Amino acid sequence: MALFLFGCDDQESAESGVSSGSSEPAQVDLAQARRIAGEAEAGAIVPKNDRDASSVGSNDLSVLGGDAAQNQQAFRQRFGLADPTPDQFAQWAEYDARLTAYSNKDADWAYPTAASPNWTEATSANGDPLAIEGTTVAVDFTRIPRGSLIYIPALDMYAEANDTGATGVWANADAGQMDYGANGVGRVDVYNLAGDRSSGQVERNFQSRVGSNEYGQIYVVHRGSGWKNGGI
Amino acid sequence: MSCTGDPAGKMEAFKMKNPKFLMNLVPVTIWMLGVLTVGAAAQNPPMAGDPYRARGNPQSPDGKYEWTLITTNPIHYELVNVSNGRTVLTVNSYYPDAISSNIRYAKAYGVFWNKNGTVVALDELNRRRAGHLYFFILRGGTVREIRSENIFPLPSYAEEGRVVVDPDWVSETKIRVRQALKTRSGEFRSKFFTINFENPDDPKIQSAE
Repeated sequence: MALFLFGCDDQESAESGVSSGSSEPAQVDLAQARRIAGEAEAGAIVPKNDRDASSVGSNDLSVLGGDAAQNQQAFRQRFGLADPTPDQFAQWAEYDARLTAYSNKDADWAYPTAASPNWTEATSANGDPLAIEGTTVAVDFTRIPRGSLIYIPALDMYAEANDTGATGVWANADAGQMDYGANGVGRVDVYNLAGDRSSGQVERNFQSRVGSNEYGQIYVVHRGSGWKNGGI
Repeated sequence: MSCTGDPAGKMEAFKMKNPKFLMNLVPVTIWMLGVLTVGAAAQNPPMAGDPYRARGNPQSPDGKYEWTLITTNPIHYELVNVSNGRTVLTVNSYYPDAISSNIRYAKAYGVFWNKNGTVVALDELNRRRAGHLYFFILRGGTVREIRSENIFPLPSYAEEGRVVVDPDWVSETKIRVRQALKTRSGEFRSKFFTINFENPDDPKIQSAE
């Protein structure tokens, strides 16, 4: 088949700059996130396990926007997660990954949603489970089972692998790179609540934060969603 | 419309008073309204309303073929010959595991037939550039598949890309599409094209506004 492709150049100047979507769901998400954080501060989110929960680690998650730090703390309290010990690191499965960022400013999906139920069981305006900055990541479910609990050392952050993305594109683009190598779990796309920031600013902030850790290691603490029922 | 003294103005006034001219204007107007309506409905992802609603029409204009979604594992689409019930071809969904969230995603597909039913676009939901856009050319009892990513290379500045139908067929042979791109710096860009299937063996792609 002979195809003649016109206009598919690499020049950004050729772009039309049209985007789609509405920013309205972001406001819903913002309110939801604040409610979650508020409940955590008020003790409304009760730790599910008897184990002691730690406060957020030394790293600041404010780069993820909104109430990411508070959400991470509420997440840890709810599921009894503490800063990992050397013994835990030794027990957990370590994998190669690539850390990338996405946000509710994505022009191809302006809804701040996740693809499978999240830990708060809250939903967004369109019925999708809500993405929560500081705890939600999108992964390739063929590499990390849906609902798994992971730990990201570069961010000192536990996260629930409950969202996904253009995994076919990821696998093709990163073929031959460590995240899609033999010990790779693909991309770990970290959700950000953009707030007043543009999507580009979110990306820049995130890149500055993780720096050379974009390609690095993550730990799969528990494969699948059983950890929510005390299966860690 | 105002009527001026210039010849062009007189001609316009004549046209508007001429019943034959007005009769010719009706189908054009209907077509334009249709394109605008479909445009609003066919945006991928939908700009308003339920983002998971199906788009287009699964049945071919002549009623000979119809797309159906099969939600058993793996989730897939089937093009069925309505007269004999035979499956002409199958296409796996982008997320093929038969779980509720993937089924919901798969149901949000779009099917866009050209007027004479010889070319059909199957457009999965564009959720953060996930999903595929396929074109199928039906001729003489055979079906040929063209995957959009094989004819629209990803620009070097793009981190992720996806081609979607936007909004629909704009003529009997041309369909308008949008290449949705996420750049390496995290910005979003859209580039529009038409694909002309006048010669199905040699479809032509051109930039569009």
